[in-house]
Amino acid sequence: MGEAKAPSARCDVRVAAYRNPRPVAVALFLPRLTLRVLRTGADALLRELISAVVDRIDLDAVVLRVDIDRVADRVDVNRIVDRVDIDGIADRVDVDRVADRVDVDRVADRVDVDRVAERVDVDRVADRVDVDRVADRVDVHAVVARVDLVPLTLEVLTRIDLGRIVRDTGGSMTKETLDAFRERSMRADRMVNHVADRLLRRSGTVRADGEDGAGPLPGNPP
Amino acid sequence: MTAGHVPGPPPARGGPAGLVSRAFARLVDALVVAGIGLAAELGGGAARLLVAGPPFEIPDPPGWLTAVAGSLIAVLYLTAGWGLVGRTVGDQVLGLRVTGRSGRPLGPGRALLRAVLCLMFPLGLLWVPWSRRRASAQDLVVASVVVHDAARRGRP
Repeated sequence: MGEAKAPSARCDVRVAAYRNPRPVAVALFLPRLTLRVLRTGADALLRELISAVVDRIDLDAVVLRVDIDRVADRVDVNRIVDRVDIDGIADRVDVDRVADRVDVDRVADRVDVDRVAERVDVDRVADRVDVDRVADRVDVHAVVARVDLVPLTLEVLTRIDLGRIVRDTGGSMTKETLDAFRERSMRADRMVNHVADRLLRRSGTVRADGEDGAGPLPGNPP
Repeated sequence: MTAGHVPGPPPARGGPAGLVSRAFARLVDALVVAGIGLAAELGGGAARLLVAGPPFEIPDPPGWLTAVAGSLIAVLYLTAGWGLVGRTVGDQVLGLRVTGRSGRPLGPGRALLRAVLCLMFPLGLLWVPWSRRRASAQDLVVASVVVHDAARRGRP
């Protein structure tokens, strides 16, 4: 009986109570044990009851009786949206995977290009184009360097019939030269004739097919 | 040629040709005749080449033969020009036409006579300024006239 009491562990207490039973401990032990047993039994009973109830419940019927509309009306969507972390969701979205799954051809097939073009105001677009700035950025030398001039020149010569132009030009130049030469010869003739007329002190000449004699005066029509 | 005051109105088309125009026309005809003669010589050399073989040589006829052949070529050339179409190459260049006084073309006989006279007496052309009708000595003999008559192309 002089032994020191062990740390307050229940086991030690029960062992101590068993070795040195006291009337209080004995009196409390039995109720406790009884409660424990009852509790365990109740839990088991409840589990069995709940399981049986769940097995008998027709969930489909329950769901059918639920008025979804009324439920939805009571749902405050704004509060739900406020609680949704859009940035977090967006960070988790793999855009590349989404883009890979998009069938661009099907999307393009559904686009009515004609209707899109009809809605485009070409005049307004053209008005906004600064032609000078566009022209300034054009590298004319590079453009010309890319042009194959030989076949282009041959095609131009074929279309414009350069030979005919040369012939017409040459003929025109020849005719103009001859006309000028003839005119100068005629002027020289008049000059010589005038000198001769003055030396002979006579006025004018007759027509080439006329008779000899005084012909029409110079300046007068025949 | 001075560009001074030239009295009188310009002659209408069909007007008589003067000394200067006719002289230039004859000059052109002389060049044409020389060309024909040269072509004839080259043709003779080519014929001799074909017959006798190389080398090619331009014939060198005696002077009298050259004169006679050249005169013959000139007469034939002038006769053909004036008798057939009323103008030679020189007349065409200067826009002249040789006709009778009535305006009709010269016949072959008159053309031949005129050609011979022009060749034998080329100075007859100098009579043109002194004649009222602007006729040369040959024109007086053959009764021909030379008028300005440049061919018009494409004009009404």
